[in-house]
Amino acid sequence: MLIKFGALIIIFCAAKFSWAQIAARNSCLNCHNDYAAMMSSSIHFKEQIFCNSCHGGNPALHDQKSAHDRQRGYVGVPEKKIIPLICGSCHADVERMNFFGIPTDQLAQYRTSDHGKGLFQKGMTDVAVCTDCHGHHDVVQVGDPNAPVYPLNIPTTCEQCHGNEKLMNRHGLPFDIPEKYKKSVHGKALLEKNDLGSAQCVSCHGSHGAHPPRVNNIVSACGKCHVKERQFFSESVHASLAEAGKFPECISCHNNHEIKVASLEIYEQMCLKCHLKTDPALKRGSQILSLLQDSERLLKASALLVKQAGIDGLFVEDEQALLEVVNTNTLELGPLQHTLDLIRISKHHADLKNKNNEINSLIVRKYKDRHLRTLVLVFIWAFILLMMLALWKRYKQYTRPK
Amino acid sequence: MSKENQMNLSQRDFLSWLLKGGVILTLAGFILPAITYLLPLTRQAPVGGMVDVGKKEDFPTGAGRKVILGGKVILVIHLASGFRAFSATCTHLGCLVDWDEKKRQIACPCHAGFFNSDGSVISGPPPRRLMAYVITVVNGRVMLSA
Repeated sequence: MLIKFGALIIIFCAAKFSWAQIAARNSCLNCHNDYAAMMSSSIHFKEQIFCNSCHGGNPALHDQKSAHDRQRGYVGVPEKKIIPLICGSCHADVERMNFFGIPTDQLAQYRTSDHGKGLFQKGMTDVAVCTDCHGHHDVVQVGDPNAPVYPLNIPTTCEQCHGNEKLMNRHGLPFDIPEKYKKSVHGKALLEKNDLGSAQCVSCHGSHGAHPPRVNNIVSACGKCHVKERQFFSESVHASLAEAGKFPECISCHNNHEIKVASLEIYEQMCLKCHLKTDPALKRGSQILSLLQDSERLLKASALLVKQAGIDGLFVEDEQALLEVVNTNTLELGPLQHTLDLIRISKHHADLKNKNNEINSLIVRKYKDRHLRTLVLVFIWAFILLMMLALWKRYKQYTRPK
Repeated sequence: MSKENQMNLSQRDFLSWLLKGGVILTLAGFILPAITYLLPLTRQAPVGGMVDVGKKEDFPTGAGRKVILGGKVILVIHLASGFRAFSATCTHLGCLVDWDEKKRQIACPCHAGFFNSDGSVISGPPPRRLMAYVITVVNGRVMLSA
């Protein structure tokens, strides 16, 4: 009991001592102690980066007037236009940040962003600066799930401004993008399924260097994740149009913020936006569509056949494995269709059809085998019956009175 | 010998042959399963144990080969450090992955997912590593746990 009490006293004294040490170096908290709780969880406070790093002044002085002396570099509440510079004074310092393993190009990137250009070149004060996204007194590491820039929280963070109708109207920007994103396949994956790999605002627009992708670099933005689609699209007839800036690549068919699950309906809806009904390209498109529909139909039919065979008691291990091959072929057609190359797609479809036929013939053979086994079973039963009759006859012969 | 006796005799012979044949077939029906049980036919081992998937020489060092086990496709890789086996079904959308011998990586042909030779994700959309199987070599035979 005495030992426990002693230990408690030591812990209390140690805590008091360390707080006293911090208080001695950071006298700001003597007056501004209402910030203490908020700051205690911040990464800066943990790394002993105190108020004066951003607000200036001299925290070693206990006299408020001297500590707040603007001659000695006191800034007070920083103006918005200098916030990136204050943050950059440390975060763009390679030597200082080196050991934290943090990039140091954020300020340089920010200057190239639409936010940065607005702030530095146009003097706008209603654009986002570091603190709008990262927070200020309670700033935490970007990997912390509570951080406003943690992938799950980014849409909400961006929505603070980009969902603000008044603010967006002032800049001539739409304010419904966050709502559209929430309904998109990416938004649902991120916000409903917590899929951190799903695209959110910064995946396409960048973070510190945020700006909308231009017409001819949309495929690069989407292609960061959709690698195969990008590769095949660059082989398509649309690629040269995209390079010339005449075709907004992926978003022409898939939309941008409100991207739905890719379906074959796109062929029927989107191609007509540019092509006339009499256009031969449209006919080629409908041929590709037929092949894709047929592939899906074949996969479903095979899957059903294998499943039914399993229910009927047949061993279908090999067919299940072949079905996985057919499934792979069908899924491969997803990215491959972006080539819009009828010959390649037809060849792939033919391979798929062959494997599908193989599954069907294997299953049919197994049903025939089972039918044959049933016939053999009838024969065995007949044999057993015959044996029983023979035994009965022999029994009668032996028991017949002589 | 009367005609009736001749007929009786042939009927008796027929019955006798029928019964002898029946006894032999019945004995065979008892003996064959016993022989099957006594012989170590690992190929026919029930799912749950180790399954023989081929000779060690069938899997050249550095190469990968797919085998079927319990309706699943398994990718067997023979590295210099030993054998490794993974489910060949990609954890993204279920495409069958391939072993890229040059890059020493497992690649998904559908959406450019890449896995290390230990099954962990390198890049791409797969949300998790490939499921690993226990694989061992016994007397020159490659055995895979189901």
